[in-house]
Amino acid sequence: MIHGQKEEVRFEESKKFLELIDQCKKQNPEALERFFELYSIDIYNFPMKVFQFSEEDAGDFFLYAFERLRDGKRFKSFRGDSSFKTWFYSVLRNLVMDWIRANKKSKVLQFYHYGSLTEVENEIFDELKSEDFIESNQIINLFYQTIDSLEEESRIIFKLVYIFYLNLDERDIQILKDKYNKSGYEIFKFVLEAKEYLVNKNLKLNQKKERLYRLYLKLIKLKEKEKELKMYHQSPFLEELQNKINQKTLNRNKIIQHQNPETIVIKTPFDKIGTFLGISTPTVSSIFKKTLNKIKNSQELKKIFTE
Amino acid sequence: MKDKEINKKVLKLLDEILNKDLKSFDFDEPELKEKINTLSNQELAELIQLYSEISKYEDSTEKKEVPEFYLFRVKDYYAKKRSLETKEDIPQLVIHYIKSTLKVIQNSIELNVQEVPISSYRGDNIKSNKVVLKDQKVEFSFIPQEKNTIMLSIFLENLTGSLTLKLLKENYIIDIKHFSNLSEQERINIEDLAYGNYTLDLKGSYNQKFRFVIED
Repeated sequence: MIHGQKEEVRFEESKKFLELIDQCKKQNPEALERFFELYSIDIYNFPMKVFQFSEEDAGDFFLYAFERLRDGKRFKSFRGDSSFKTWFYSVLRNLVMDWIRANKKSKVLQFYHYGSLTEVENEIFDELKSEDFIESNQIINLFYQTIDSLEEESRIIFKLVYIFYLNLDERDIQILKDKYNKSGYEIFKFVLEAKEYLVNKNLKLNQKKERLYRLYLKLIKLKEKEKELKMYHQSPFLEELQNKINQKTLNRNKIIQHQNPETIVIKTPFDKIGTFLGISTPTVSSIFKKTLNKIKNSQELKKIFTE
Repeated sequence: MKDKEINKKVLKLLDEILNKDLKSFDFDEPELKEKINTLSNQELAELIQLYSEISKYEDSTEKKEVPEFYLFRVKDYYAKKRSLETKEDIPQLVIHYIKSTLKVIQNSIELNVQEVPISSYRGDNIKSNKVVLKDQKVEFSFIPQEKNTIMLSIFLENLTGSLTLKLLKENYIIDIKHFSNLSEQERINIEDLAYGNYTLDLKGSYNQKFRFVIED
């Protein structure tokens, strides 16, 4: 997984670069301008790649971060305890969190983590979500409240299944240590291995989605063309075109048929969780399913949908 | 979680892990494992979160170009900042550039200024002057070029140590050169300078700052 960054580290440890950062700390405008020349691309891309910001939001965030970094004061907190890049990414990450708080004004922080929770949200709420007036934030807030109110074991299993989207907090870590006798290192190792596995799974899924999307676009174009040809009665081409449309439709249906709805959401396999927690796979599966139903049937959530 | 609140211990450990070429996380480094094990729950949650995010970014490919509009905002901010700073009274040279020749209109720079005839760069018989400013260590030559542009040629003699040259046009930096070890003789050529207001700033073993205006 990690890290083809050796070359960059060398550059960022170079005397020249450290001099530049030193000048930024001294609030030298030329140095700061140079810094932005070098790092604008990271400021812009970081929220898109990590938090799935749209390009528009990434642009807003860029200006937000620029306003907070341009005078150089923030650089004073870089004391060389870590490499510059690690420090800078953690600053960027905090700025992203601040931006979300400032702009979304609600507890949807983790909603952005590893992309939107949309898939999970849909899996859980699809059958409930029928009213247009329900705001996504409301659902997400309630979703988190519901997770927080779950029993320890159910919450841990639920979070581990959806670890691609959710984070463990201090309380979860304490339970893993006390109840499941896990060390900090074991927790660290499990979560990161699971995330790496799920990132790869997500990549494959995205390729599939991309293929499907391209097929849909192609079909739309072909149907537009068909409409045009019908208008001008150019039948020799029309037949050929209709054959193409049929073929593409067949391909599309094949992909959809083979798409198991279960795999749309990226989940950690139950057996991995079972091995980690020292419980059987059916137990993990059964606790997870019960938890999922409990969330789906939450009275609070239902209230929102019937109001 | 503001950056001042990010635990130093977490940052240091994160750095250590990020800079290791880890193949799976089953690393056989008792010291590192021990460090992770001694983290508090909050620190461990932070470490996992930051590690996931940073490695996700580091592993991502095809980074998008920053739209010009945002880059312009950065440049514009510093240009305005400089413009406030450069309102200080600095010496100025105004050069009139017409019909392939240069003429000094106004000068307040304390250097020896001369208009020096040069042989025509086009090979015809048009008379042409360059403008030369010099003292014992440095010679600045403004030389006409094609397409109504000029070349600024700076000749440094017997200067040692370091030197930073900065050239701004309308308060935007258009050139920066840094020499950490000057040789006995050094020539710096900056070509294609069109009409406009420029500020030249030399700092280091030779200090000189002046504004020059090329007008038609």
